Amino acid sequence: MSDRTPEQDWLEKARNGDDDAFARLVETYQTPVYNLCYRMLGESTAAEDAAQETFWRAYQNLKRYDPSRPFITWLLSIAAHHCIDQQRKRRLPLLELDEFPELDIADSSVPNPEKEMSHNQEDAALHQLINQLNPQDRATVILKYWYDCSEEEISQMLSLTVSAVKSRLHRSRQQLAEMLSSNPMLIVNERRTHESPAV
Amino acid sequence: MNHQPYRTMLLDDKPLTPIEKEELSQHLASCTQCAQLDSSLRTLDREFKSAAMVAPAAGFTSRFQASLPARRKQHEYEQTRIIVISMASTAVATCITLAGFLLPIISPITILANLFADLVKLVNTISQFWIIIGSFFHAVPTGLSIGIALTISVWLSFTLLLWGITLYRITLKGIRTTI
Repeated sequence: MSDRTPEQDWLEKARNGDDDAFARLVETYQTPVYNLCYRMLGESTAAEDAAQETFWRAYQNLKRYDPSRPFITWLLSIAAHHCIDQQRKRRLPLLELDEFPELDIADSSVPNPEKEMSHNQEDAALHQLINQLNPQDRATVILKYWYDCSEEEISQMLSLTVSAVKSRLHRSRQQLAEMLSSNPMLIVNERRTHESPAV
Repeated sequence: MNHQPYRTMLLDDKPLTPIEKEELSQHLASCTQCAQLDSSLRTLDREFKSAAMVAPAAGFTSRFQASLPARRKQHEYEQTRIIVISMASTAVATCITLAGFLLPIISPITILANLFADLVKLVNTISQFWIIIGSFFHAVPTGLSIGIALTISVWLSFTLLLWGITLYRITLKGIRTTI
């Protein structure tokens, strides 16, 4: 019996030119890649384009992929670099608190307008916060807090030294905490805890 | 009051020893500035933990698959453009370099006159070559001349075919195929 995972089989087939196998990889990793792009760029159309571009770049360079690294790490690295480049090319306008993005939350539970509104508020607030960081700091924070990546993994993904990652995280946390304390409007979670539950 | 060690403890987000925890806790109880930072960081961590993974709109994979032919074509077009631009740039650079070397020494009229003279010489050489070839075929036995002519024709056709395939691949398939 083979110890190979389905992912390794798809990768092997994709490396040999099987487009359907690559499509399975896209299906498997679309959410983490899209989420990273969405958190980096703050806008669904730009995130879709960036995620599609990430998979295209992976498809083109599949033969350069080192199988000793997790495939998702490689994909996230491509996505992060692409989003950083996009951010450097054009500074996106910051989201205002009253501009709530339309989201497709992965866990679409029972429709609940109040809960959804609250989620959107949180997301907009979070975007407003992390959009203040420079693109590389933003990527560091997103990989750390959304993907639970270690400092070593982040350093490999973003081609930085471990000490540079540590210093970026330290600086970003300080910057975010200062913004949060100077703008009480952003603390939506605390407000939510005092709201009456939606029935 | 020295806040720096406590700010570093809070901002570095690393596990603390029991002694460090106790010291930090005592400091936070007496320092509003660091307590405010601690509160903001806790709120921040809560915000990050509660934020959902955002999924793309349905049909993401289908959209990727549908975009593949256009992306491949665009990629091939870009490769072809790169090779054409590189060749053209090389030709222009060579001409400019040659002009830079030759123009101070020889006048443009002399260069043109020399080129024309070389062209005439080339035409004469080709005519003489054909005369020699014609004499050769008259001199050798008919069977041998047909054999030589066939061999030359086959090799010439093969070379032309290879050249045609190469041009076709560069134009339609791009310079390098990735997958």
